[in-house]
Amino acid sequence: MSTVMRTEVLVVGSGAGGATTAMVLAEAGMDVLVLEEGPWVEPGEVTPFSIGEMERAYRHHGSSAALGSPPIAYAEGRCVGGSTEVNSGLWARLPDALATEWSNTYDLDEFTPEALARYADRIEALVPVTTLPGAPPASSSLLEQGASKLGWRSMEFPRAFSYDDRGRGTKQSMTRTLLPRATAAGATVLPEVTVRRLRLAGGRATGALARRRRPDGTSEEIEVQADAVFVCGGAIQSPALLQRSGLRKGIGGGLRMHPTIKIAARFGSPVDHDDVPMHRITEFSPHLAIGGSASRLGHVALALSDSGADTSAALADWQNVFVYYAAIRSDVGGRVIALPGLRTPLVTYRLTDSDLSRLARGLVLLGEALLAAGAVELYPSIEGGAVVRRPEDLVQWWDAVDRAHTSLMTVHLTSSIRMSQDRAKAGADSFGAVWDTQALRVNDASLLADAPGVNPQAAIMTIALRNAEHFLSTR
Amino acid sequence: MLKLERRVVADLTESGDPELRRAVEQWVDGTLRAMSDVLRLGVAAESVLFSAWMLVARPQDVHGLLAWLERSPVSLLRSYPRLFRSLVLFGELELGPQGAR
Repeated sequence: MSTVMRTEVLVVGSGAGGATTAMVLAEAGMDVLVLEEGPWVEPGEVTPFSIGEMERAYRHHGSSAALGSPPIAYAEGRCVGGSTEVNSGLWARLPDALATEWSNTYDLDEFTPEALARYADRIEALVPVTTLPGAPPASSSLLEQGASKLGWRSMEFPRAFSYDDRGRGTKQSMTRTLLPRATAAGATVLPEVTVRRLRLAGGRATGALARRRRPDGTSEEIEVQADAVFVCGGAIQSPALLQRSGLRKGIGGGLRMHPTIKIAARFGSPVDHDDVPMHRITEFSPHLAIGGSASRLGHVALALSDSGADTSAALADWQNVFVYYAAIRSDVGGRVIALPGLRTPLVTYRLTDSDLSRLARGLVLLGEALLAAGAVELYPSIEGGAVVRRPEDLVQWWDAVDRAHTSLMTVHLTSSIRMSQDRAKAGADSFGAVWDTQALRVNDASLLADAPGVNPQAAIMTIALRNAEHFLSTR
Repeated sequence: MLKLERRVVADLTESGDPELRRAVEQWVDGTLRAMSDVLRLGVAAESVLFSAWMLVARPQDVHGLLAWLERSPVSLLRSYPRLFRSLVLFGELELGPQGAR
């Protein structure tokens, strides 16, 4: 027998999109219930980028993959606050040129750069976004130095962080910013609840069926009755939930990501390993982004081992090694498919030959920058890829990036339920309302028309604020 | 974890510290359990296939199997030892004394 819960608005997911939605609606006086599949992770309970964090706060312990040639590993947050709890906090507004392009291509209402800037201003008033109060760590300034020597543009990206008087930073994730505001306004956040499917009746969403895991390990079925439902589970889970609920038109087919290739770079002196670089090389943006990754011992070892070369000396010297990446915007994309009988969706992704060529170019450019910054050895994430010590040897990597030997990953997943006023092009309208189903909206990364070429959190929150307020204005 | 998977993890774990070896096995087991259904089914299918192949080609031990798979021209076959090597390497370093920070 199910426990029945009643709410005005059900929000599925508590990440960047869900937390923004919950805050806006609760502060407008609505009764809001947020269901989050993952656990509540206390601030400071796990070390950022550690194995403990992977076990506690990532879906599949961070070991997910989109099938394809080559497959692409990806990671999603799965805890209260979603991926904002586990990402680097790097903050970049949606580039104006992309907003204009998306607006034109997808016939989006009220999606001008000026309108989005007003929402972004308001989000940034709620989530502290700042640059470092002092000098950047070595891992970050190395990128700047490499770019500078080559005459390329680079910049320090602001982050959703706040800093105390001693310069110690605290990431301003959703559990520290918008979710407390939502709950202060009366919203309820329930962790450890998996929404199995939505309740639909007469072309309208009326709630959801879910399973809640109790602290003692037992579980209970929950039936939530709601006047409106916002699905905010991210670009993989949101389309999977809609498909499990019988909604498939325009759902799950347009998945986009930033396919990312890596280099483990060994320097002549120690590099910090507790954070990710704030600097990025922007010379080739938005189509190619160059930055740095989490580089704890385990990450360094994995990145070194990708090449298959003898890495024992470099691993013994791991304090001098840091992992950097080149990420592209890809041509075609992938699919999210909920298969009957399986708990988790099948995710596929197709890279074109042009995509692989762009990844090879990104790898070579990244290698140039790292050697210019003083790296003495570069290990590419290509099985059998040559370890490079001199700029003239980078040319070997052009042909080495192929479908059989290249290790790719991503942490940015978008566009699986695009917005458009043209219902033939997308699963939702300009404000995230799912076509042909009343009282059902999507409000997360799924809505973005394409992978934005920058960290998507700012764009997700900006659009979520816009869409939640549109919902309020049309009630 | 399936029997072959447990043997693969034991073969790839370098540490002689029984506590660390147990922690690594638990980490790999937990990650396999947490994997998406499609990936777990694929890995399990390969494990069953390779177990059967080892029965037929009796002389091969786990170490030999992994070496053979790593030399394969088929990337899907190479991905099997690669997955376990990555999980064990990450677990052994992050759960060991250097990684525990």
